[in-house]
Amino acid sequence: MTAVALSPRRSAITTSSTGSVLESRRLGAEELHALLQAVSSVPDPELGGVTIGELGLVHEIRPLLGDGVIEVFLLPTFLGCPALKLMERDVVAVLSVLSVSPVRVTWVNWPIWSPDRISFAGRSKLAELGIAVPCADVADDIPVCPICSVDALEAKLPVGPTACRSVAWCTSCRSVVEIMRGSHSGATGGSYANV
Amino acid sequence: MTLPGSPPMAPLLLSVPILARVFDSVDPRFRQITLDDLTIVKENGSMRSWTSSSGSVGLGENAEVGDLAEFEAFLNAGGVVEPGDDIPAPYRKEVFRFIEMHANSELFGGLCERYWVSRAPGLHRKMAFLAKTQDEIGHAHLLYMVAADLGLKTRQQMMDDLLAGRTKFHNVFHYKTHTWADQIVIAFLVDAAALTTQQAVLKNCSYGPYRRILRRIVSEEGFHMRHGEEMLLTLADGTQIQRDLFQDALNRWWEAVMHFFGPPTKANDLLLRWKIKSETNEALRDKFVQKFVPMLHDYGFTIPDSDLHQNAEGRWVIGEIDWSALSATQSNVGEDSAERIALARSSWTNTDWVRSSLGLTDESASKLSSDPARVAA
Repeated sequence: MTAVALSPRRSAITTSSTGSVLESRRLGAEELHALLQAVSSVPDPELGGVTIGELGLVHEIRPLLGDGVIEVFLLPTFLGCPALKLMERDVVAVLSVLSVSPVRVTWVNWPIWSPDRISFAGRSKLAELGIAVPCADVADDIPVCPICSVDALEAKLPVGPTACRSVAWCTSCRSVVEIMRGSHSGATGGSYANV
Repeated sequence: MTLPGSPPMAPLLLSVPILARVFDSVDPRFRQITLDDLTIVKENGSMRSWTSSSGSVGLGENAEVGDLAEFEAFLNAGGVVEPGDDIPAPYRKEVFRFIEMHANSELFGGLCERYWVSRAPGLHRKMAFLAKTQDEIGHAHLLYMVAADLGLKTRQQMMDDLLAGRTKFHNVFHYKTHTWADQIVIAFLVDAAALTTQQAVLKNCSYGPYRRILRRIVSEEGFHMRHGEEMLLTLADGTQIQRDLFQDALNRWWEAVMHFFGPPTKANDLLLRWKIKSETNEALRDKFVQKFVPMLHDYGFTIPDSDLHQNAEGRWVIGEIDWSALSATQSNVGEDSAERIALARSSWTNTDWVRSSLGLTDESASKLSSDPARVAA
């Protein structure tokens, strides 16, 4: 590939909100995009139907120049998330269908994941599951009910079945819903009310 | 009560090939807002209310099973019951009993997992058990909230009844876990059995709030099952000692797993009639057997059922089931029932300080801890 050496083909690709631009001399933009889409399409193991791309867990994908390894950088919602290993395995599995290069998954803790990273498609799928997404910049923000869209949620439990979700009660449609927790939710992830 | 005007809930995408998914924009900076994005699909959008359309207002609290022809027609047409509706009393009672039992079982399941947090081999497994414990206790929370909203018992009453042995929880939590492999049987086969039954409820459950939380619970149980399968494969690929460990556990637990689905459903079963459940116990047991018997055989294990065979069509047929052990668990006098209830009771009283520091009033809990007879039990 002398052409590459003479005139490096720059394919900018990034999924990071910090705006870093990656370069690849090995893969074209289309190939990289395909890998990125494949990684993003991996389903979250605990949220039926919502993908890790929709949740904003995909940070970067970088085919390394030296050892030929495709390195995928992912952001955990919470460092102690028990599903990290499974997601790692699923990412490796999905990339091994598309590429013969070895894959390495690296969890990064910067930038810190927050609910703001969840895409609109992700938000509507979460709403279907009864999970609301708060505004991460507002401390203890309580969003509208994901079931009936009424501003009637009452925080009930700071942490629900998983570390990334708190539990709330809708006084309007009387549904038990959950709220994604993020870096700005404070220690309690919502004010505590008597259950 | 409401009729879905739009298509029923999309099925959970647990098994759809990964690549077939619709790709989502991955960079939050480049979110392209389209009409589709803003149209959040609402399960109860454009549905009609049972109360206003049927004209049978006021029947609810005084209704008896025989009065419900109109209500049943509504359910048969796919109607979904919501908490604000004029819910007929017999339906309220059935759906409450069902959800309370589910909640109790999640709580006992969580306590059962918790026991293994400190005993599981390796940090990775300990983390998984910790997370699963949190899941199960979290599920119990969600379910108790939905159950309490039905207004028949407060959450505290449900807890009191459970800790005093007056209400039921699933049969599998009435037995001892002797070895690590017993816990793997629970994590794999029991979670798979639970998933089978919950998926069947979710498919068609007529009580809206329950169905909505079941969607999340089922997603998480699927995750547990994958974890259980991974642990099972470790033993199946391991040494003879590891394989024997699992075979012994399977021998101990197979009957209880078959019992998990319950005795054959009676012809006039109200849960089925009112679409709280959508499949009979036998049908669910059979579905489980067809899937897991060949799987366990593939892993090289033997099912402890000498009458197990394949019929002419190749379907697996299990031997006659002896129900005596199930009856014992249903009266809370199973092999380990007393121990399990005592464990739950001590866990409840030992966490009094958490509830009081959070400002939760908890009269009965303090009553429990000051009642010497109960503490001693």
